[in-house]
Amino acid sequence: MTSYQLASVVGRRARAARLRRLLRGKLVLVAAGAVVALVVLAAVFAPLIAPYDPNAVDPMAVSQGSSAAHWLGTDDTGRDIASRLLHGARPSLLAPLVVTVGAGLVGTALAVAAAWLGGWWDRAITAVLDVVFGFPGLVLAVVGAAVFGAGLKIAVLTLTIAYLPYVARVVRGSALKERNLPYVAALRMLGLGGGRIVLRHVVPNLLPLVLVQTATAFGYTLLDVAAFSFIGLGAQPPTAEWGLMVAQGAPGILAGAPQESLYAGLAIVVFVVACSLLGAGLSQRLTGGER
Amino acid sequence: MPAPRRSAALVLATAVALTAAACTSSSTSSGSAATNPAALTAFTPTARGQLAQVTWNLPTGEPLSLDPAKAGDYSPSTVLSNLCEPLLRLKADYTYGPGLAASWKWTTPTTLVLDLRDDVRFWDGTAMTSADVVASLTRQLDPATRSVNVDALRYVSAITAGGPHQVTVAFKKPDQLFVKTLTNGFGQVSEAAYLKAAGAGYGTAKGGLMCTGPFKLASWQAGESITLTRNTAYWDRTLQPKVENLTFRFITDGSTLTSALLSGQIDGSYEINTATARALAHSSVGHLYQGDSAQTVFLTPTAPTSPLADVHLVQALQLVLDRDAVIRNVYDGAAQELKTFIPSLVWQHGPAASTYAQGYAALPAAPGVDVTKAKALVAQATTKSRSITVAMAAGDQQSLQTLTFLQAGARQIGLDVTIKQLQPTQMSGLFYDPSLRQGLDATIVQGYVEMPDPGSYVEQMTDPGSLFNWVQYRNASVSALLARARSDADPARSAAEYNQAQALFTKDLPILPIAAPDERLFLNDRLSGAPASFAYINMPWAAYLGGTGKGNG
Repeated sequence: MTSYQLASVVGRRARAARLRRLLRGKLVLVAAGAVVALVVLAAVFAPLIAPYDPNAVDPMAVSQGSSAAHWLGTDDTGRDIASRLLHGARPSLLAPLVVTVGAGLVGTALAVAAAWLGGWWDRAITAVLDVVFGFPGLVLAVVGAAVFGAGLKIAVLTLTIAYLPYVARVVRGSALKERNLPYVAALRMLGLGGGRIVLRHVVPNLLPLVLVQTATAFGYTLLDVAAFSFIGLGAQPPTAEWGLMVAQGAPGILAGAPQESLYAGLAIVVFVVACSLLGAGLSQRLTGGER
Repeated sequence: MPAPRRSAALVLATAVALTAAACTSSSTSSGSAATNPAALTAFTPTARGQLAQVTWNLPTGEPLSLDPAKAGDYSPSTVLSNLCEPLLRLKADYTYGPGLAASWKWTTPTTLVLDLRDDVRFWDGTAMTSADVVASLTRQLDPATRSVNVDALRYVSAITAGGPHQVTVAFKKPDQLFVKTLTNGFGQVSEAAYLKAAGAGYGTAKGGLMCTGPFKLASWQAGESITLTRNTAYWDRTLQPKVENLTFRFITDGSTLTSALLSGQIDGSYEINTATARALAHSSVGHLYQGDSAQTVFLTPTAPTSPLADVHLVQALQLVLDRDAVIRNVYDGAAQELKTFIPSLVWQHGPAASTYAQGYAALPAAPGVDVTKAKALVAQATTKSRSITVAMAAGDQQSLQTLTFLQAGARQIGLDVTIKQLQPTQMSGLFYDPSLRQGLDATIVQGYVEMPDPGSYVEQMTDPGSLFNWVQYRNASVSALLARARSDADPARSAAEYNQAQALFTKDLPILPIAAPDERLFLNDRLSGAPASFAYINMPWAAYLGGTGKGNG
């Protein structure tokens, strides 16, 4: 085999490997996107597709396994688990969405303000964010529940505050780099005001990073909201919410009726994994791996 | 963004669920998993041998205090009943007999004379005398003691020593209930000198105790365990403890307790809940016993402004709550349906049992589900509010299940029930602190009647100004009849007066009786002998406990 032929074979193999990697990456991304889309659609159309009222109890059908009448069985008050999972997707998805969007918006605003204004503004905002960063979300949630009472709204508020520094820290670093790029100086020389430069040029350039952050965080936030409900600080009964369902079904696990915790737990795991894969994929494509 | 650090519990539960799913059939039903209610037993089989160590669980957590004056709850009473003895001893059938007092006699309608045993010694070897009894009873008059049984002294004018082993109690008016109160924490005797020295620290981990019971307090490691050792000089030769060391743990989580019982880390526990009972029902490591109980579960309004203070709404809820379904599904059949909120064990074996039984039989039958009638009652209610916030203890799955059934039923008649889960300290605090009842309309109560007398419990909810009369219930006839029943020396006449009061308050007291749960006890196969009846709460139950010869002695 000549060196040309050898180079040609090596080149073909390398191209094939690249193609396989690309396809595999795309397949995973498509699969993750499909799962997320499916769950979002289920949440939106839950009232149309759920076979039962999620809060309708049936004393004659308590803790039943899967059947034609109840695809995923029933819980300890005879409520249909499939219907509760479908309806439960609404608060389970909406709460982390509010957290990520809220933390994304406020965190980005604070980060850009700190980076753009610099000086003591930067030091003050960073110091405040550092203080918030020092409080675990759970501590904030416990304090919030003690002051205002447990509930999903308080859980969302405390988680938004807890997630702010994560977003702001990453965005501030990029905003500082952006601020020192030549195009910003050029825009200044053209006479554009600070506000306009930030809103029309700097923020749009930071958007891919914020989007990646938000997409990746969404899954983790969902897990956190579910965890808060699991320990009684989030959604309250009879709300159908995945974390709460895991908690309510827990006593049945050792008693031979694990279906409620099992299916709610699976829904959380599958959705969080799908979100993480989607976030990682988006990160590759939008920022070239920059996180 | 880092992975969250706060979700370990959730992930763990999911993992356990997945594992459990792999090990269990996909199809379960309430019937197949049920504990299959067995006949009620008063005692587990008699123990044969000695045991060096027994580890017991307190499912309601660590006691706040072991001071007998403050013992009015599951955990402290379960421990204290083996340490400090009352003047009269409760029996497994909820009757009572001699304890530290060998006999008692009413010399006049307002004078009670107690003759004490003369062979009783405290753990430190000091002989028990009437001075110790007087000190133990009278300290509960002092508000600083914060006795939960202060009502027992309502009609007492003086408690004096009539000799080294005789105590005389003088009353302002006759009070037959006083004798029955001597069976619980109120009647438990502590050493006078020790009480004085320990002061406010008596009954705490630091201050300790000095009593006469079959076990001595060896150590109390806060947050960890309480250990008792047997009293080798115990005066009752018929009830010598067979267990050398008894350690109490404080596992409140049902799943953790189930695992601990199945693995043998915990040898036994009273108050086994339904989910744990299901998991233990077919266990090869021990036995689940069911006994008679004086426990009661009911819903009560928490303020006069509560919509449920209107008895029409309570009666309406009664008609939409399928109590058969609650007993079948929430308690797996291990509970009794009641016409009122007083369980029958408290009078069933006493001297006036037949009179009480006649009164109970005369009450209207517990109503079945009738949505139409319930709607009519809602329409008759004078209160306009249709929203009811009900408190329950967070993590109490049985209460949550019951309230979920109630919530669904209430929705059918236009009542909106919101379940508010409170942390244990808030939940126990709301019974005594009105500020903690703010924002609530009702609470589910899982309680017990401690004395072998039904009137004492009812009085606390019906007497004007009583601690638990939160709705300011006023019915002069009920109060007068209960007062007469309390003072009447003739048991049958007293029971008849109680029956008359019962016929009245059952109609107009806004309380929704739910069930009277049976006692559930789990014992590892290596031990036996403990009472299975709820009377354990004020009996020296651990003194009956011993080995079976199986497992590690």
